[in-house]
Amino acid sequence: MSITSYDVVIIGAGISGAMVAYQLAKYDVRVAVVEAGIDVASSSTRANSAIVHAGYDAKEGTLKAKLNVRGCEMMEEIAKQLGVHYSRCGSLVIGFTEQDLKHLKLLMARGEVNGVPNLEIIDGKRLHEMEPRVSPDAKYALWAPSAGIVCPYDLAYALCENAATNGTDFYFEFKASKIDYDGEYYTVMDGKKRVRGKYIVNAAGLFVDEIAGMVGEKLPFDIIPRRGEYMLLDKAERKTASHTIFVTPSEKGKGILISPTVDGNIIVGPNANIVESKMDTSVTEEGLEEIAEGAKIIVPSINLDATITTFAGVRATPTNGDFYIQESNKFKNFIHVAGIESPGLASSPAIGEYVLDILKNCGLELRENEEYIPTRTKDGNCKLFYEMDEKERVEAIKQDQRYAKVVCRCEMVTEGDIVNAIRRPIPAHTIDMVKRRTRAGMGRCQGNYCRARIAELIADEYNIQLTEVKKFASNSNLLLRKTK
Amino acid sequence: MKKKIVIIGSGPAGLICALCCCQNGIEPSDILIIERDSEIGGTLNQCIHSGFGKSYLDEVITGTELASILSDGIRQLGIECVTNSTVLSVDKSKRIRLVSPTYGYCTIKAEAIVLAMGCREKTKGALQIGGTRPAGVFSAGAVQRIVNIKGYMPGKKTVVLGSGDLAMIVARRLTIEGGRVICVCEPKEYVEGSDEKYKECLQDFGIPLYCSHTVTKIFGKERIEAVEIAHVDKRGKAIKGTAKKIKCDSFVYQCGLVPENEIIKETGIRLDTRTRGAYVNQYFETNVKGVFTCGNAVRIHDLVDYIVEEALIVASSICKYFNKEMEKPKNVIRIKNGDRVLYSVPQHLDVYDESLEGSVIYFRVNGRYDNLLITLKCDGKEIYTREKGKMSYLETGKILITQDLAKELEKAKEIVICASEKKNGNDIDNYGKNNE
Repeated sequence: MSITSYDVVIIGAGISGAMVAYQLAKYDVRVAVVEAGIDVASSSTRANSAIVHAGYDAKEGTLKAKLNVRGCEMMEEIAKQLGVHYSRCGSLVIGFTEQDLKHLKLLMARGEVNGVPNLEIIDGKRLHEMEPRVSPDAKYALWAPSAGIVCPYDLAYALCENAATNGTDFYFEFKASKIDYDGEYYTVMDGKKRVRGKYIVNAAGLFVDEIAGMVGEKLPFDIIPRRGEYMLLDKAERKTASHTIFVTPSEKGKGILISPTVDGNIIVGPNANIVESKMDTSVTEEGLEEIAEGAKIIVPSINLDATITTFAGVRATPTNGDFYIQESNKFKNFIHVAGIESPGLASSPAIGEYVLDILKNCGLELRENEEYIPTRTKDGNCKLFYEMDEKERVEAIKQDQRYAKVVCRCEMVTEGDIVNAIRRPIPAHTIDMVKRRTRAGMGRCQGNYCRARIAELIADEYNIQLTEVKKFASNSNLLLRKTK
Repeated sequence: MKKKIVIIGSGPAGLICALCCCQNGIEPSDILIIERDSEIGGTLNQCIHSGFGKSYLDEVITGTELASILSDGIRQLGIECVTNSTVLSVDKSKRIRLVSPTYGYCTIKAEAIVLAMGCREKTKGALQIGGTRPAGVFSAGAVQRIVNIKGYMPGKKTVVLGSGDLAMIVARRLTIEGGRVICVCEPKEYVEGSDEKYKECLQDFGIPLYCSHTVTKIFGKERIEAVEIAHVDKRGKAIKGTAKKIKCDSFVYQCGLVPENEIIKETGIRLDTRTRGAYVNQYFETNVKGVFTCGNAVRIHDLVDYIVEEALIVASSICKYFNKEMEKPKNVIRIKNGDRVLYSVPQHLDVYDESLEGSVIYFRVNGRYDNLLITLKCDGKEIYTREKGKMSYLETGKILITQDLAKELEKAKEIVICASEKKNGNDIDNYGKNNE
């Protein structure tokens, strides 16, 4: 059986793996990404707070602090380049007591050492001018104008699409279970499927420890799966908050936050509970209550009845508390990108850059790719209908009639958008894949109206039966059988 | 593009309104109906059960039959319907932004607009059920469409949450199609829908109904495998220790309907927070002159008959509007909701040259009552009382303004509708709000 050989094999298509792939795509190297899930951003990257933290949380001198501040600085440019929604809305950590104020001052001092620009402690008056609905009891806030928000899975799609457009190969449902090393090549295997690469980037998120174990290495810390639950509110509630708002942190962590999302919703959460399974993304009644209580501390008038969906994500929390990004102590050219918990999303651009440097130092030859395409596809970033201006809409419909047919009325997603998502460099073939690429089904009706219609489009494009269309994974068929 | 009358939505409200406009002398070519689906008829197309047409045709027929009668009428008159076409927005000067395979991306300037967009279902998010998010979880309306129009089964062993008419009809449908509805859970202490539907749909098909029960958790990674149900207290909170796991391959929920009024956000049309529809006068005209509304876009109706009535009112109002009979009201009478009244439509009466006689005030109460007395107070003075007897929040109450009442009202500033209990009442407060 022939094995495809690559210079670099990245394990994991979460935000870290995607950023490394994006950085490598600029060079003339053969790269493969293997991903256990069926899609990019299948795990932690899919469900988190979507915050680009400013960088005052991480302890001075840690790798986390360094990469967070740098990543936050880089994010805007990357998002712009790839047409990813991003907003530098700034963040507020609110305080109620003298004790809180003391803590905010500590955070500010730490932020300044870390290099966070323009931090400021503001009084209640200014806070309430900025956020009129914040609790009247809040007296202080740490204002970090450099913080932002971004859609994490859209960012990961954009990065991977750009990489795929520039020749990176993606292998989905490739669950690395064994890794061999012959002194030159590492062979990554999933049963009979295998790829080999001279360099391995272990960006397996929650599973980095298991991947390390496949070459007999024990990471100097454990990965604890910690689940965070969220509530997402209808766009009609967008006035709840216009900045990311935290409460002063306690021993229990950063606590519940309220933030706008780039799509105009309000996100509330997360809590942080250790779970047994790394895949346990279920939500609990108690968890949602915990979040509701936390949210009311920040904005007492928050309208949680406008919740359109609830969800949970699992983070890979390392017991040592810092990112661990370095070449393996035992194996040459095997690089671990481990312990990437919050602020992993904010740090990701810097993680990509940092890993690139490590690869270079390991001896990977990086010649610039002269045919490099800087966008998601050859034809640019493929705007969705709702993102287009009037002229672009008229033009899109002229090119393809299907742009004149709205499928998801809540988010204004057209048939043209959906067919395009099915045909993109990393093609969508399930309802959830279409949903995350186009927002179809993400609005206030949560797909009640359009889900079956999207299924029909998928069935048409792939020439399969409607009963074969899946929501996400192999056994998640939407409909059971035909009756008429 | 210019058009005299644009009707948004081709459900019963929109179609009947169009047909009656023509009966009232409006040229069919002056009307454009916009429908986002591929067929006209709206939700009627998925309602293969009987119970439609009584007030419009004086016979009881199925929803699909009514849809075909109405669309035949539209076709015969030659009224233009654009299907697969979505209105993106409507602005203050009655410009409609449309995307349509027929017209592309275009703007239509209308002289009069009828908002007949119907309603949408509330989502599971509002229920906050714990657990996973597998395939096999559907809203009742989505199932009705999938089974009746598309001809597919969403599951064979189903648990249903909610006992409104729609949920019970869907439970029956799934059973007829060869599926098994394990149970219908209802968080309230009683059936939410009508007694008639309970008998026809659940009892006659042997489908168990568990009142004071809700679904608390969903199990299953890829396809749904089970749900957890539990007893709830009077406030709808699950009681600890009563949870039970039930195996199923699908879960269908109904948690209420909401008028669909997203596209008019930019028009400055005032919405009533209770009905979630527009504020209207007795002509079903909104606060923007020339913009009318009828059907479920105004409020969620219990019977199609009321939708028909509203469509007829709008059709005649449009004629009055074009005849300039509704320029500036001589008086505006606010209608307020008193005790036990959940909402009333219209929300105000506009007095023009025409008498108020014949106008109707529709209202709903906030609970289930055995012996209710309805009174109308006009600027503090009681001008109308009627024994209503048994009434629940599911029914629409009607007050017809008679010649005498009209005289009393003409110069009034404000009227208040009140409902008082005579005795043996079962006041369950605002619990019925969930039913809006």
